Amino acid sequence: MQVESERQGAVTVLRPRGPLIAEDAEVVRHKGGEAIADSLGRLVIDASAIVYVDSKGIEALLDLADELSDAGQVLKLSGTNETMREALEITETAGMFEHFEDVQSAVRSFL
Amino acid sequence: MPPLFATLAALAGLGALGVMVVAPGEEGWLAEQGVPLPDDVGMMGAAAVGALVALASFAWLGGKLRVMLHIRGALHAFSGGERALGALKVTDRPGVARAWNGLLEWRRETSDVAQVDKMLRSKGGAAQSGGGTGERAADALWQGVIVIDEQQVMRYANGAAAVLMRQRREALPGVDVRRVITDDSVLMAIGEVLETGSRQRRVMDVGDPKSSDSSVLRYSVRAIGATGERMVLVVIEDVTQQRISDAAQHAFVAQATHELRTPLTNMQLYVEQLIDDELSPRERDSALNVINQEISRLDRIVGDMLSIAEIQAGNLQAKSGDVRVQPLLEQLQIDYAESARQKGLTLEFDLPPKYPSIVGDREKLGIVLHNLLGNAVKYTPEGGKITVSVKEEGDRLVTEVTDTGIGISEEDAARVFDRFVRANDSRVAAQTGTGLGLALARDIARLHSGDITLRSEPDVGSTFSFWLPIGGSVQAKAA
Repeated sequence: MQVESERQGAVTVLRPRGPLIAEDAEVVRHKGGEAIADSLGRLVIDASAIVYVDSKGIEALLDLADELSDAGQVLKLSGTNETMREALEITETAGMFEHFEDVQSAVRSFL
Repeated sequence: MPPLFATLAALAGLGALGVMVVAPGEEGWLAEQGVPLPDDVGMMGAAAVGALVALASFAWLGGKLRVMLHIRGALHAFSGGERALGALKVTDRPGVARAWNGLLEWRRETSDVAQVDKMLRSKGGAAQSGGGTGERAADALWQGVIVIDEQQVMRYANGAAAVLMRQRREALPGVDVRRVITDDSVLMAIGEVLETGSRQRRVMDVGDPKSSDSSVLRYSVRAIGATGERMVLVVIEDVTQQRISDAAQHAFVAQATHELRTPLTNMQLYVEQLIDDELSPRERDSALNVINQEISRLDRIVGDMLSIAEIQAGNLQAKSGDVRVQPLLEQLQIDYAESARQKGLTLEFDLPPKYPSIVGDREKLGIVLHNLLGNAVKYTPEGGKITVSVKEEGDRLVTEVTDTGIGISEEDAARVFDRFVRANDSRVAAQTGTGLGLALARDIARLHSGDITLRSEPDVGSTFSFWLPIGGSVQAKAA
């Protein structure tokens, strides 16, 4: 899975492309963990290019959310498509994240 | 039958049989009550003795029974919600009443000990894991919170504080704050507040020496604690993003002023020439041409600024319609032919014979192409070459703008799509620009469910790849 990383100001935006499943989820979890450590938790996952997500993918996102929770922060997801939103709702994990329509809104929330 | 009544009945029966029953330790009490003991009975009839014993036993048991009834009442009151131990006490009498009251007193004492223990834990022992409501609330804060005592030892640190100070949380309580916070101004503020007990908040922004991204932390220091116990509360906030945003806005205002002034100055010069000087028709045409170009440039700058403002407000929206790509590229060719020629650049267009259908906003897609090609012309030295190629790759239409320009370092490439950011290269600084063009171009590409990527090598050149989904749709808002 391709995971683009970019900085928007002081915020790291990770943009995984494709389905967030199986071993790809570990890549996102690893890169997210690095970003959290590097930028004191200023992390946004731009989910607009995630096609769908399986349990491993949700688990990876929850791991990152837990890591941020230790610092009183919440993992910010932007641009989640309907399929992914549904998966998060069915697994009752949607409430573990902050949801934004687009990356810019998510980045602005750090101001 | 309840045991008490069974005992009473048994005793009454024994009394009726003339048997003297004396409970251990009750001889004195019987004597006090005037009850004759067996040795003094003498010749009294067995029936009279039995009646007297029964009477005394009844009187003795009646006293006990009253105490038991009072205790029963107290238990009823307790089950009804009465928690004041004083109200549950019974009249002090030897025996069961005293034992009951003693039990209540012991309960009061143990309750006080628990309260004191709780108080101590909340004041000094909050560093313990688990914690109470207050600690859980502090853990939900994104601001770091630490409490420091008079010896400058950390008594409490929440999770955010540990992350912001890049420490393990469990290692913080009991640590001298000077081992964790190294900034002199913060330590001085802590020392002064501890010394004076001033409730005035002291605020300072400090660069994080351990960060790779120039993080800035804001420390707020103030005194807390009751009289006689002086402590300091330090709140730590990560203000890096605010700092970057402020700096970018200032840079934008300065750069925009410069950007707007340059074409205006040119236009003013040429208009003055047209008014004052007698120009040949050729010179007049040339002046008008320059003015026309500068007006277009101003129009683009203002358009970019408006689009950026729309993005910042979360309102950038694109019309959705069929876009014919060929006329867009042909116009681009016309627009940049002159400026490329003036700079001695070779401008080539490698275009396919036919184009797939693209859905989007023609005007906004034009902005993307203008910004990419405009940058290539701007940052390619004289004699260089620029190629614009368009090709279908699967379900994407890819437009590549390749130049032999100054290139972009790996470090700058990571930030080049950020707003208000310009590459850290003196050759870039020498050119006018707002640092908005690429940010806007990428936002528009993503608004069309596409994207822009960059491959570049300093002093060799750059290739910007702009792709759009063939027959794709426009998103509601910029991503």
